[in-house]
Amino acid sequence: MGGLTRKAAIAGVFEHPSRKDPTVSENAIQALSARRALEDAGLDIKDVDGLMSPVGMGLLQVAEYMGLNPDLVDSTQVGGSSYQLHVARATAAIAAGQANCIVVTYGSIARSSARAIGTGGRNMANPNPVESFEVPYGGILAGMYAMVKNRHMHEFGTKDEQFANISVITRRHAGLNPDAMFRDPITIDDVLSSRIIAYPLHLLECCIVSDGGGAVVVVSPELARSIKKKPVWVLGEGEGYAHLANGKRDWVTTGAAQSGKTAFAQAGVTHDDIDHAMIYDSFTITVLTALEDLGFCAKGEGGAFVEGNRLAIDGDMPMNTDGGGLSSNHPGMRGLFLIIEAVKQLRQDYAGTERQVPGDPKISVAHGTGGMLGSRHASETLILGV
Amino acid sequence: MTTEYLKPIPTADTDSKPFWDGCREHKLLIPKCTDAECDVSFFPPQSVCPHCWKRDVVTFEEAPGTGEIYTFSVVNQNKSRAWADDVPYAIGYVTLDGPGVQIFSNIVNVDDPFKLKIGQKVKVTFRDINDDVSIPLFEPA
Repeated sequence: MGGLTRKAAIAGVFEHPSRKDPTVSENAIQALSARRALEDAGLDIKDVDGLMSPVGMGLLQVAEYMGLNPDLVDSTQVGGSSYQLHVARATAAIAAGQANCIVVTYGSIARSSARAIGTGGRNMANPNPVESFEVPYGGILAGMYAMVKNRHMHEFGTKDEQFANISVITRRHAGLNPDAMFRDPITIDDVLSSRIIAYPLHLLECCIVSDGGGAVVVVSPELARSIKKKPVWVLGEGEGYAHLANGKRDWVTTGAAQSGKTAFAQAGVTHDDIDHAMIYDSFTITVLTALEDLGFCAKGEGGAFVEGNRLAIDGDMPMNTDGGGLSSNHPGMRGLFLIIEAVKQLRQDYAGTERQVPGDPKISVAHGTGGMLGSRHASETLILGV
Repeated sequence: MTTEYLKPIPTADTDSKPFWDGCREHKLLIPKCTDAECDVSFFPPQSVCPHCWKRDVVTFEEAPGTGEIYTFSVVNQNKSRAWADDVPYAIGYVTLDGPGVQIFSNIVNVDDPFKLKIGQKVKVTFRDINDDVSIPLFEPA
């Protein structure tokens, strides 16, 4: 253990339930979510001294909308995994005494504004010199991920049915989440008979596009003692960044191989200690490669690992218990929801219902993948515990 | 070209100009660091070596233009009008014979892109988009 371990706690969380709501702006979702996350913690707006959201310079507008003059900000943008990074940066800042109460926020109206994230987002008219080696060929986001799935199947014999099982289990979990966008059970046949978006990825292997957002509140150990709910501690964090490797890339290995190693070592835990996992599911291949690279199984054995009931809520390692991006919500950057659901499971917010991970879950991993497999991406692993 | 070209057109800069100039002449020019300690090809092109971060050591050498499919996908849905007549179309990384680097492009001139195979041999073919820009595509060898 070391580094960031138990240097800060997540005191409050809120997930904005909207999946399509044209009446609310992205800034409004962030402000409303931050207020509810503070209420969840029993803290007040005036306690907030730090603000983080992966919006670059746009963070100044978010601060203005929320009437905040924070002592500290971070608006680093590494795609959907930005929030794992922000919670780590918040923890480091708190450990350094720079802040005591940092809110991390997200708001998106991707669905209301009809954004085609996976199948149209890269059709820019005049690509910059680097993008000029990708976008003139119609390399849509889903297609870039699909190439990694194809290569994985080629190298390791991974089967479509194994990928499909990830969608099936995730949908079962969505059935337990009243806010989830798609809740009706599906079968492996349903997944494999859904239309091809980008071969070999089927529609039901691709995350949905929704509106949404949320907030988490990260606080100092001192402040954590006075909150309403059980604090959920940051145990470890690791980061991994992968790119084209100048034309010599092993495309089936992701940044998780780097981020997971750091996070597990820092947290001082092993894979057997993990009671619950939230693994970014932009596509089925994103989950399968992350599980391998994080070390839950060997490279190439992900297909067998995701078979059967292991990842179901009543399995050995319940995963994506909110229904994931495949079925619950995906407004473009899902990393924050991984953290929110991990916190709720560790606090046992769902106690007495089928949605609660059984036993007495103590440690959860929330692993984000931002950007694109098959191109440049960021992997951020956050390990949380009570 | 009888119809308007709606797809994105590459732009060159000081890093990539030698590559795009080569494409205009239907030559596949791949950058290589000639520094004794590097001696390595890389892609996409850049004017400073990604390994030693030196500038005057980078040269562009013509690749044979053949290679094999490292991986591919068949895009079956693209919301952009520019690609409406193209779906389904194949995208992929080709590992080039010679420099051994991966290059991302389309695999064209195939009856059924779903029948492409990883490891399949391909060769470069150039599409002239306009008077100034040509892009490298690949077709079965």
